[in-house]
Amino acid sequence: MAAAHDHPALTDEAAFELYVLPEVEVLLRVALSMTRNAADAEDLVQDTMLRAFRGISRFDGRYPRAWLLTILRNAHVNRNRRRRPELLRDADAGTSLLETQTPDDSAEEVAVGQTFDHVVEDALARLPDRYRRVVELVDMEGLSYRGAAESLGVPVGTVMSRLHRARRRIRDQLIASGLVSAGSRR
Amino acid sequence: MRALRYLRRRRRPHTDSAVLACEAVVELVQLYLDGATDDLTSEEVGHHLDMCRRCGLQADVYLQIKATLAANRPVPDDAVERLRRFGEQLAVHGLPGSP
Repeated sequence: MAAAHDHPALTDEAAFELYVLPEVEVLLRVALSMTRNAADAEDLVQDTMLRAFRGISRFDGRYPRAWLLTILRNAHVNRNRRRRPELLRDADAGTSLLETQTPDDSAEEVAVGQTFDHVVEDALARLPDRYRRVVELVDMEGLSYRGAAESLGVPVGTVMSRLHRARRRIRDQLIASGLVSAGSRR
Repeated sequence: MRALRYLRRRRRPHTDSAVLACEAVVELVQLYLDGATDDLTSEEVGHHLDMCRRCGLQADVYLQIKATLAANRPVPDDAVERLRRFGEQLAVHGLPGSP
């Protein structure tokens, strides 16, 4: 089937290979951090790939990583919902945004690529040591909050507040650089 | 956790009792993305992110920050291999069961 992405000559299968397969590792890292469980993370990435394949004909080829991370987030919601069927309100609610927006609708407000990475690295370098250390332990090395707390000899609550503040500062830097829409600012 | 219990009480009035207000989600979204919220809270935050474009966008920015920061973290090779094979099957044969 012909597709809407940047390369109109590409089949959906070829577009999938071009845009999705190179991001598998990235998706798995993020999924591991969200689920804290290797089997769940792998299932979540598999779900994400299936959804991406179904949506690839509507994907225009811009910012595949951002597009895929949004799909991953949606897939994660549905998996939580399946685990807790007693809370099911609307079986299709989890896919509503994904189905009604063009797939890159959220991604268009976030330019991702080398520039994004550079701004994140720069913002990280500017953080006070005590904030940067927590980001390094949790986000870069993959420790749990508890693991980071033990490593630093501080309470878990301190790890959480430093980490969250640090990431908020990184996000503020992205907004200041114009890479992230101020619409996502609070 | 006291803070969480407090936030969970601050629901949007006059709506579905399971819909958290944006201000509560802003406080919870990073915990949610770190897999540190309990099942009920995850369900509520996820539901909110599904329905609220602004909070959803914010969550996506945090996910992208996480993806960038985690770039050098090792991942289990066997899982990557299985997922690649799964993807390649999709790319070659399409969705299972479709013509």
